Amino acid sequence: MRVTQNMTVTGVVRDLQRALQKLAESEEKVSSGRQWHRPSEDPSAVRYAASYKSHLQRIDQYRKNIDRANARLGYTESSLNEVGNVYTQLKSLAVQAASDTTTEQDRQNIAADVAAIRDHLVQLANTKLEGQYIFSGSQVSTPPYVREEGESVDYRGDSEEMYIHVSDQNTVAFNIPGNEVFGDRTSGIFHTLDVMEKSLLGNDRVGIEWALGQIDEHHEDLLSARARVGARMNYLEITEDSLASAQQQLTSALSQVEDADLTEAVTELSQYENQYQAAASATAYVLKSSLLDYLA
Amino acid sequence: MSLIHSLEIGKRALAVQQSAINTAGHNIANLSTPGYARQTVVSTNISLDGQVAGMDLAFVEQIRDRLLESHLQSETQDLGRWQATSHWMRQVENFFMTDGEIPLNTTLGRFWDSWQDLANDPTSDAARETVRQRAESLAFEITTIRQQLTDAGYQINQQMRDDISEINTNLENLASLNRSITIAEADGQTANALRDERYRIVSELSEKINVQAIESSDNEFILSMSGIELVHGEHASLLEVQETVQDGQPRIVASQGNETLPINSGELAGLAEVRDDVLPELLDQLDAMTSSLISQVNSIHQTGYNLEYQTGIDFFAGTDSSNIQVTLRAEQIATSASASSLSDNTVALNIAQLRISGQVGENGKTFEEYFADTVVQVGIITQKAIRFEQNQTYMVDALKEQQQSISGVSLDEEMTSLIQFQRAYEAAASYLSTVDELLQSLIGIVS
Repeated sequence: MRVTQNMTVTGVVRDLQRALQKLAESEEKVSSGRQWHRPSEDPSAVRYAASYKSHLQRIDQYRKNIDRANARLGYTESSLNEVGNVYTQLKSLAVQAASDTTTEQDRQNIAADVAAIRDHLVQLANTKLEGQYIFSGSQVSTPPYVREEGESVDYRGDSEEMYIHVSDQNTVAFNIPGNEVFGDRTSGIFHTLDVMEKSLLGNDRVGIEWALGQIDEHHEDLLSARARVGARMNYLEITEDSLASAQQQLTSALSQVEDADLTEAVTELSQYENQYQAAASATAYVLKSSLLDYLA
Repeated sequence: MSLIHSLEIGKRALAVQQSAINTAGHNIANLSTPGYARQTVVSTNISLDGQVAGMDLAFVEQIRDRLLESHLQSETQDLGRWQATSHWMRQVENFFMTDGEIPLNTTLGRFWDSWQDLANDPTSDAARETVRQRAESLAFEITTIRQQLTDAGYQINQQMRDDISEINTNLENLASLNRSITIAEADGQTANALRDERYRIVSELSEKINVQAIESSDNEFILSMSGIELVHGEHASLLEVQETVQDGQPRIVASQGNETLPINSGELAGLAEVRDDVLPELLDQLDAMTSSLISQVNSIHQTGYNLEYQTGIDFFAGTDSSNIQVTLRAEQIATSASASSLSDNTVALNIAQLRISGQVGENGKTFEEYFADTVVQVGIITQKAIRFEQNQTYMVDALKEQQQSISGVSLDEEMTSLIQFQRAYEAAASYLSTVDELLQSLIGIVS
């Protein structure tokens, strides 16, 4: 083929341009550590990366939700634990009050203890976490148990369990409505305590015996509520573990589609660098010589 | 045969060599002139009355390969088309992805996250405010992408308008060149410089539209596009800019007498493709996602109660990507399913769950999946345009190299020719002086 000076010049400039372009792309890969920056560089990778990222973002939120549910259930658990201690104390008082050897005066004294315990229980049932009542169902701004002067203790909450998402498909309730543990005005621990106090003051053995039986039942309710809380916390732990492992897998999958293989990228970079240098020196060499150099 | 006749042979030889030297000089001078095809002197030996009479200059010829050139022009048209497409698609890509991230998807994710946080804490003012702010960012990003897509359409229109006026200038130039060529060539000469210029203009036009140039047997130059004559000899039919509105967007097309011209290659075709096929499709998808988002969030939100005991309230205002916005106050965000418990979180949870259960399009993709698909689609279209542009560049480069190989000026050749013509000139001169001596001898005998 006939070759002209212009062809050589155009050719070397084009080669230089291409070599430089490859060099720049390779440099970007090494310096950013990413395989691609634009959808056109790898459209199918974009789809995978988007799906992994969206999943990872959800997992972050679920773990946050789990932390929050754990804090609430943990706090509920420790409050119920304390209620359990009070029940034990209450039971021994009731047993003592029901005893044949207990005098009427003793029963009057015990009645005062029972009244104090009732106040303490109202306090426990009105436990707040971060300004919210944990035992009022969904009515978190309302104190669940209120005792108007001379009245029985009344439940002002509702029976709602509040759920949050801990994975794409699963939810966990993070509260125990107070009425499941403490009951309401007509049945439940506060009603029992009212009857017990009245019976103690009236020296009514039958009433005291009845209260003793009720306290055992309330304790059962309490234990079952604690078991539910425990089961939920277990479930949260298992879910957290599986989320953590999913997070790990997704992170490494994301890295597979997004991150540049550094060893490969660096090798490639030095290869393109050499290529560019070769092209540059060829350019200088080609443009130097001409027939004119040899004509006198 | 007389010695005077011999003098004539010498004179002609000098003239032809002189003209060959001129041509070499002309070639060297035009080494870098675009569209220039090298020229050579074509001389013939002549005889007069059956006797040798030396040689004479026949004409100065341009070295061109017409077939190659028309091939090159048609490939240039395809290159122009893919260059325009890839240029605009690279811009469009930027609307959807920044440094490997899809910002809208991240914002969507944060929006759902904020509903989860609100479900965790339905009475928290901060959580409500966050939901409102993230919804605002989401609406802002959606409307921004829409604006960018619409602006791209405007800019493409502007570029097409500029292209059409540039094309028209070139068409007029061609017509007037044709007149000059006819005049210059009336005496049988070839107007090489004018023909070079005409070739250059046709090449330039080829970058913009699919034109085809032919020279008829009676030397009439015709430039046509898809069978429509744009230039016929000295007459040019210019392109008109026809402005219409389509889907609320201004749209200009090249036309002649209200007939839209079928432009199927070159830059104008590439621009029209992006404007008429790609951008509207992307806008449709953005709208499909946005209106699903608005209607699905709103229909759940309407079932809920807010802190002001209101129910049936919309969360998002607007209907699609052109007008989505958040106008409600933080206290007006409904989280509760019942008027009796405003701190219930059922509605907030249901809205948060739209992240998984929300459905856009026929295949019921989630919002994030649907939008990721749109970005992938942009990637595929851009990738195709870039690849075609690259391949077409290689093709055009190779053809240009072939063309250069045939028509390009080689300094080595010209320098060699110069020496050759110089020697020939010297020889002719020395021949003349020999004839002169002969003549003098003859005159000496006579006197």
